[in-house]
Amino acid sequence: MAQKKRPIKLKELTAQRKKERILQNPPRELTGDLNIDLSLLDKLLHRSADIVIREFTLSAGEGIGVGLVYADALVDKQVIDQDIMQPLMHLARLSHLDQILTKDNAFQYVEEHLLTIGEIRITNKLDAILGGVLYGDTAILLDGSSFAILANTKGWSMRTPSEPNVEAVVRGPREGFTETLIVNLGLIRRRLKDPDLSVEIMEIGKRSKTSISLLYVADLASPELIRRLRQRLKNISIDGIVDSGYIEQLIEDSTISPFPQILSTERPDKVVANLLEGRAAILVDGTPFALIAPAVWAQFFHSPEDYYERSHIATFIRLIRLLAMTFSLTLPAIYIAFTSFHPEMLPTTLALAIAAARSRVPFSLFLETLIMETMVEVLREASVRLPGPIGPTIGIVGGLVLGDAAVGAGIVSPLTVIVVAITAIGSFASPSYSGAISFRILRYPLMFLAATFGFYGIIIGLILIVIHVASLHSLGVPYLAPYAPFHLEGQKDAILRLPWPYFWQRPTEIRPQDTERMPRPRGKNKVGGKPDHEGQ
Amino acid sequence: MKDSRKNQITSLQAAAIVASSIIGVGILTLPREVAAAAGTDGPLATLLGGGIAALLLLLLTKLGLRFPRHSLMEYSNMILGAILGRLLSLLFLVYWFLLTAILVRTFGEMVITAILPNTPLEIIIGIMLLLGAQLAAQDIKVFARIHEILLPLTIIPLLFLFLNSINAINPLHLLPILAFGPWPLIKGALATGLSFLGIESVLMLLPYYSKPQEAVKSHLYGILIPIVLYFTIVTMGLGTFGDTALQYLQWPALEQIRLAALPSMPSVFERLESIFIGIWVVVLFTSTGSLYLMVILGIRQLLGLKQQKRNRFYHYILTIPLFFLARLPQNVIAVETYARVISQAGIVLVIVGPGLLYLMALIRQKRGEEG
Repeated sequence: MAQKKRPIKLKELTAQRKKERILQNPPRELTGDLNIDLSLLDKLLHRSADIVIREFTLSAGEGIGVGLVYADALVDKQVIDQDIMQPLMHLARLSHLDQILTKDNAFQYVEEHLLTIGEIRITNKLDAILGGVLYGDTAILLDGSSFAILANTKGWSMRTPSEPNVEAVVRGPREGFTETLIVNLGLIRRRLKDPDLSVEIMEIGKRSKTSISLLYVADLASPELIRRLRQRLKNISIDGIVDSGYIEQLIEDSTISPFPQILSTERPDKVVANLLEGRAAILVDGTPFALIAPAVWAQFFHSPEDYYERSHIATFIRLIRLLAMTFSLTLPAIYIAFTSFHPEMLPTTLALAIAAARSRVPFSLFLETLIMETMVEVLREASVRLPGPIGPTIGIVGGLVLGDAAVGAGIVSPLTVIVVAITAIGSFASPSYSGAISFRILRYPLMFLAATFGFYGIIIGLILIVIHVASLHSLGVPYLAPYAPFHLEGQKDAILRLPWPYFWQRPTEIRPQDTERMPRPRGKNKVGGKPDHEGQ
Repeated sequence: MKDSRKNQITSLQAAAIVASSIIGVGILTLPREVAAAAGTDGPLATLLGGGIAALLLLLLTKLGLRFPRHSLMEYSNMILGAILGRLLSLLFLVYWFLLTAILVRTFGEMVITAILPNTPLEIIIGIMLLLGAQLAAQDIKVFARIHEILLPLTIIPLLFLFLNSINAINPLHLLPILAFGPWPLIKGALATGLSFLGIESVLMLLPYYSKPQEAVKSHLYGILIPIVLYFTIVTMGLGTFGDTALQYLQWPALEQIRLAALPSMPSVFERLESIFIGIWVVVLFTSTGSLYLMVILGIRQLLGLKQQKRNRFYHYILTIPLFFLARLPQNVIAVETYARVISQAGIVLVIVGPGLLYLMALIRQKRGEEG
């Protein structure tokens, strides 16, 4: 390799050969030769620019070489400087050694007396070292030792917990999940100081090696549920997990359904409440959305706030939400069906008003509604993508100005604008974004059916939706529980939201090990009983 | 196979299935038939007919409970022997098959007359058959769940719609009661019998119950719903039109809904028949789906086919013969005639068949093993 020829000693030559041979054919474990090991790691990491490899000598003992390997962007440099470099380079010399450090005992001494870091791991596997370094650990290698110390020096820049954007509440905690798994785990632990809260960490994604944690309360969640969930997570074989949405679609029961069968939330309080009901949560590193399974359809129109506010208003708002979601699903279809198929159902004056308004409109009612619905979707998409302050402006310009101008120009009738606007607003009233999506998308087939068969078509569409939804399961739990299979106790927290003292029983459809969350009220010994559930 | 049957239908679902299998075309035609047979004794006759139907249902349940893990197709073989048993099963199968076709046809006639005059009959029939097939293709437990959730969503609005015309009732139309002795009452009760067909679905579904010991209770609750509904409809129809006019209305229930505007909000909807027909579509869908499932289960068990995975393809093939069968009658009159003949044959079959089976089972001391 060298340009100038110089005499090489035989020993150096064999060392050089050995190194080349090892680099050609990388082993799975460390060799124990610092020089070779560092070159090996450097090669395996493709000499990436953000990986720092630092070599120095231990200040005590017979000049033992030390190598540090860490990823520049993922570590807290202050920790490395103060708790690794300083002890090894400086303090080691000052400590009162009762023995001389040699290559044989240095490793143990460093580990036991010098490193002032809480979490360390010792390994000789190259895979583990690479995984650690790429997750913010610092690998400490000592010459003559075939083991490395992985010190936890994670310290990348992260977002602090901020108010949830999508699931805003008037009353309730203001904290939302962040992109960092460990912070999110902290947010949950802080609310649930139960030693039985079990956190299983696993790594999914052959390349992304994303940390995923499965959370459940060990003596609440049904073991069958946890076993099933764990199995589904283990069955995932994919190169990378970028967001919890990947996991959701990889483990849910029916992926072709428009209805989400797993709840996603950015609110730690919601996760804790669900854990306490015997459900399981999945946190994925790098995403502020936690997954909750199993989920039933009723949960998609429940908001955490329902449980914090007084029960009357919560029940009322749930009814309002149901109404809004029904509007967002059926209103355009009903409008089309009534106006073009069954005008006799409308009061005469209203029918005349519609006819008069539509007399200038050149399109068929179906086309008119379809165009407007599509425009609203375009508008919505545009205002979501635009940066903060501009988004609402577009909404106003698009909604008010365009709508008004379209009516003025005689392209659409005012009633269509009203219908489309109510539909759009209705779909925003759902507390769960993914729950609203299914209704938003099913609106279009319903409009087609209404335009073909009128009211009869709408009913056909709704029947098909009911058949589909009734056949769905979320990890073995019927999606329509507690309505079908009907469960009386479950009705307390379905459309109704009774005051908290009535919630002495956990939802039984998810089969928690302990069904009571507060002492059974007197006189309730037989009535609640074992629910009449379908077999699995 | 036996184990896969257990724990599919809860007691509440059983009640819902009984109720929604019974309620079907009857809603539309019942007031006319009862008025023709019983005159002003109609409401009483309906109650009597319901009582008889409930007793019959009790007999069917008792029979089924003797063989808690077998269906009609299986225990008829055990009781009557292979040949006679098969014959009886086949009779039931043919009856269900014809009833499905005529049910769908009646439905098609009404939709075309009432709301979609320009749509070809074939399309309405075809869609309904496919919907029924789709329902029958689901797992039994999903089938039960759909009945469970659709029943309250249909019955409550139906009752509301009919009670809505309470202002139109003339109490004099409801009198006199029992003026002509008991005969009109009995004739009327027999006439309502046609509308209570559907109770025989329990013969096929009982082995799937999770708690067969509660079957009697849930079946009685189940049949109570159609009794109440029919009583309301007949009383309302009779009170509104009087027994003479009622006999000449093709679909009295529909006429009645047409008459009534919502008193509370007359300016929102003027005529509610489209809503009624919408609900009626759901009602018919559940009965068609039930019948379709009976046919499917019957064929499967008669031929000894194994249960297959979901969305079985061959379930949909059955829509083809049903479709052509449903197209067969020439006009509404023919449909009515066929429907009457099939239902009357059905009544005989449902009374005689299980009655015979129960008697023979008692005599020969046959009994299925416990679940």
